Amino acid sequence: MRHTLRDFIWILSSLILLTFFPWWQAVLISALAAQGLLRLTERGLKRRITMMFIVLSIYFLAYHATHKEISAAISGLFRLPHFSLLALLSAGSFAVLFAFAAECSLWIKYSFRRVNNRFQAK
Amino acid sequence: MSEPAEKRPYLLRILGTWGVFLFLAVLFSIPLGPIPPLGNFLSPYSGYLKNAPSVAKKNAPTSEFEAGIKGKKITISVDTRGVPHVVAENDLDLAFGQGYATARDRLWQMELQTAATAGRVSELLGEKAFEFDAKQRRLGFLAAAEAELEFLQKNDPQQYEILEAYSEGVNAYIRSLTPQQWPVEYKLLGTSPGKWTPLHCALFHKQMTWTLTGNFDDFKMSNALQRFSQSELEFLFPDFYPRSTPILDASVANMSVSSPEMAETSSSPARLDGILKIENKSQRSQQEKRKPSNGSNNWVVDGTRTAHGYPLLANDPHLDLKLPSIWYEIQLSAPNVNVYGVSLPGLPHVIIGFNDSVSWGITNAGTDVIDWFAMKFDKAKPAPNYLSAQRWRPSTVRKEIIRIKGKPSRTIDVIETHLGPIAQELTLEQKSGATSTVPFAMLWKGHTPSNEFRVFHSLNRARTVVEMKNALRDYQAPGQNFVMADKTGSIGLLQAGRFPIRTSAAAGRFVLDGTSPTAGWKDDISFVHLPQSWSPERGHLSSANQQPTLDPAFGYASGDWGFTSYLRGERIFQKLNELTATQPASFSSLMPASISSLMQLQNDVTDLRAKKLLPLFSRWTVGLLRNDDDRKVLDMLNRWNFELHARSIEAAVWSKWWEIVHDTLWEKAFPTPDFKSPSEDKTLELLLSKEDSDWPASASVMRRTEVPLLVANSLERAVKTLRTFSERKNLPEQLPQWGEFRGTKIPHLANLPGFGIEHLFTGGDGHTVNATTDHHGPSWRMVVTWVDAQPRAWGVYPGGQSGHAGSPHYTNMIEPWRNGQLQELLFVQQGQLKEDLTLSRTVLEKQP
Repeated sequence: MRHTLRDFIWILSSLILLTFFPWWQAVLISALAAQGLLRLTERGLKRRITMMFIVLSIYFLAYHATHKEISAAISGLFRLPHFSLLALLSAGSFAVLFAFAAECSLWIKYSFRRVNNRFQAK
Repeated sequence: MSEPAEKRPYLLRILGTWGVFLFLAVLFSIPLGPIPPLGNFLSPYSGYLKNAPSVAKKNAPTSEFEAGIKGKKITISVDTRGVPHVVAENDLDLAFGQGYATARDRLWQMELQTAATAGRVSELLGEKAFEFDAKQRRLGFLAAAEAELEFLQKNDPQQYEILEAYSEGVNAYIRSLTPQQWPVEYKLLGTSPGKWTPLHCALFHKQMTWTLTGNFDDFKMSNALQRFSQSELEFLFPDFYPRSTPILDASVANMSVSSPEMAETSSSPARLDGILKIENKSQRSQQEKRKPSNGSNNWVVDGTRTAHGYPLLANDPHLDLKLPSIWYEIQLSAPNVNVYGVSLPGLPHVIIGFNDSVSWGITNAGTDVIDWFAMKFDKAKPAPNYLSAQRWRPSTVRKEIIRIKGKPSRTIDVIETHLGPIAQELTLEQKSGATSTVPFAMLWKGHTPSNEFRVFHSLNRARTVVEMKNALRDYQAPGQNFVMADKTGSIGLLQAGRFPIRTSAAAGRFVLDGTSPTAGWKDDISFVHLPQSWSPERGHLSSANQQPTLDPAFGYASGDWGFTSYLRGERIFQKLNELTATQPASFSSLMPASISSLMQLQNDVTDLRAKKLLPLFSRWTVGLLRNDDDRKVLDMLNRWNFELHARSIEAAVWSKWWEIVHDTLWEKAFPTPDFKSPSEDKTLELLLSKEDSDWPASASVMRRTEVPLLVANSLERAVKTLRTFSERKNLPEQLPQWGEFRGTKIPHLANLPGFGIEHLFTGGDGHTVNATTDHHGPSWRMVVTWVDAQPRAWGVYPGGQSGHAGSPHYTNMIEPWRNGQLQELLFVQQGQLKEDLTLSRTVLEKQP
């Protein structure tokens, strides 16, 4: 439960970053924030992808629905039958990207700690 | 941090995670073929979701400081239809405001159109546009635009300053944008808006001239000369149709039709001795650019025919339908001008419209202002020396660098001769079987510098029909039929333009001999001898792209009026005669009827071709049909009212039937793509003629006695085609409605799927006043009059004011346009647009 709450806070902050910063800056900052908020666990990646996909889907669906004209045009461009599919596609893409960025960031932290622990053990 | 259970080797896991992340990061950062980098494009911060301009009413005006403004301020108020009303203190600021407002709505369109004209699309789209760019460079538009600007700088610096001010306005808007606000098309292509200059304005003017005058039929006619004699071709492809209703007949043309200035043009057809092959796709698309059955209409009814004493003017120019639309509505107000109408995005001034004293509308004249000359160079391919008047003359070689996105630039040679650039090279398949390449020089009026900017500047400020007539004296290209009216009740029609004098029937009809010492043009038809009429007795004037007069001695030999049917002009003339036959009793009885009558006439879908031919076809066919179903279809057609409504099944059957008859009749004598068939009007005349001697005697044309069987077989084929269509589309009826079968497509300017309209349920076709076809139609409908000395006008076009696909003003006028409903135009007489009618207001102030 504690992990889930931390995940949720991280997801919300990622969403805010995605709205107000270029995507690569948002990913970078979110990954750094992950080091303080998240833990590297066996099921963490899957859980975060799922949760983030749900949250981003709601956000993107609402955003696309309120910008129907441009969403419909871009959906047509990608030959998608409805703009909601475009919203889900966007949400899915960013969910995977953010989650993997966080995972990489956590692996750096974990690796550093592991090396440090071994060094201290010697 | 709790350590994860290590089921897999540690290093493999870390590398796997990083691998997936880096793969995704790269995928988000690079374009994948036509797909832009997904990261930026899908991001809500910078992507397409930022391209949804709000049309919510903004109470507070936005204010910006601009260094380029000469006066104190420019106000741009946008009304609820999305139309900007620009108010400025002088002409230069007015142009600045027009440039700013137009760029705000149509920046991408302006950039793409001028890039296409200049042959610079490869810079945006990459290598796939190289062939297109090379073709455009060879047509010489860039050089022509540069020459035009040089001409303006020398002869009319005021107009040049207006172009500069317009450009400054466009650039001021571009500067105000962040990359997130760039139109979505830039994001899709990964490019940025370029700086706008007066050259862009001149380029767009050249593009419009080309759209309306470009003509490649001469090649096909020269091929026909290998199979038919010149006199046979003059009969099958007449310039003048004696049975048609011309723009001006003897009753209205208060001018001499004989001209002492007419000098015989000495250009003679080139001896080709073979068939020119229309081989590659690029050449074919050029050849087929002008499809038959395009159309535009305008007409004006005299003030003496209306109880309130003011004329009524209507105009619906037909063009290729695209999104964003070719037109942009605008009102321009400064101390000496207050004009409303449609402008072309990329050009200053209003092109079709009205002010408080005059109104005007235009249709394409169609007069032939382009000739192709077969040239001989001292090698098989164009090289510096070419043969002219039995001596070798040096040509000019211009090196054109074509920049290609993501690839090294490439250079092409553009060869210039005294007869114009070498714009085409075609393979000639000789009778012996040998082939050779023939280079063709293009002599085109659009290459000669002119000052149409001054003409429209003056039209926008005219107070009377006489002032409009004087303004049109400088008009060169593209040749247009201007109808005009003023509030004193006067009307007029003038076919304006510079047209080369041609009295030889061959000149302009075939490709000509470029080696001849007399190849080229001498003089133009002088202004006084242009087709024109001023307030004629009959009380109305009209044009529908048809021939200007019946009299072939006019000096107009070789027009290009076969690109459209003369039946539209005939129908308009008939209806205007009916509408003006009786003097209206009172203002109140006239006004609703007259304005709505003119609007109805713009939407008229009565097919005179069907009216004339169907009884004959029915008589021929009735005994030859082989099954009952086809007989029932024929019965249905016999009860039809000849109206091509979208819901009409009969219209679908008739149109397909006629198409098959026409194509089959000529397919052996004039096979595509190397030949051109006689026009549909000529075919109609031949079929209706009772004289056997009228029928072509050639072995390649079927005999007259065989035609009834062809007509009957064609009906069976047409019905079969329509049934197959219905089955394929799962339509409830066995035969489709006309709007289903034909319909209309309005694609995006760059053919982006999702940005255009795939299928509109429309009626009409090229033979009816509402000449909507599958891709072409009324690009602007306008009706103007005056009530109590104040102008009142209605208009609509198939699109919307905004060029942004995310705007509710992108397609909002399409449905009213499809239904033939014109919207009242908000002409502000004095001061600013009222608050309750204002959607937004931008004030551009001089930088302190």
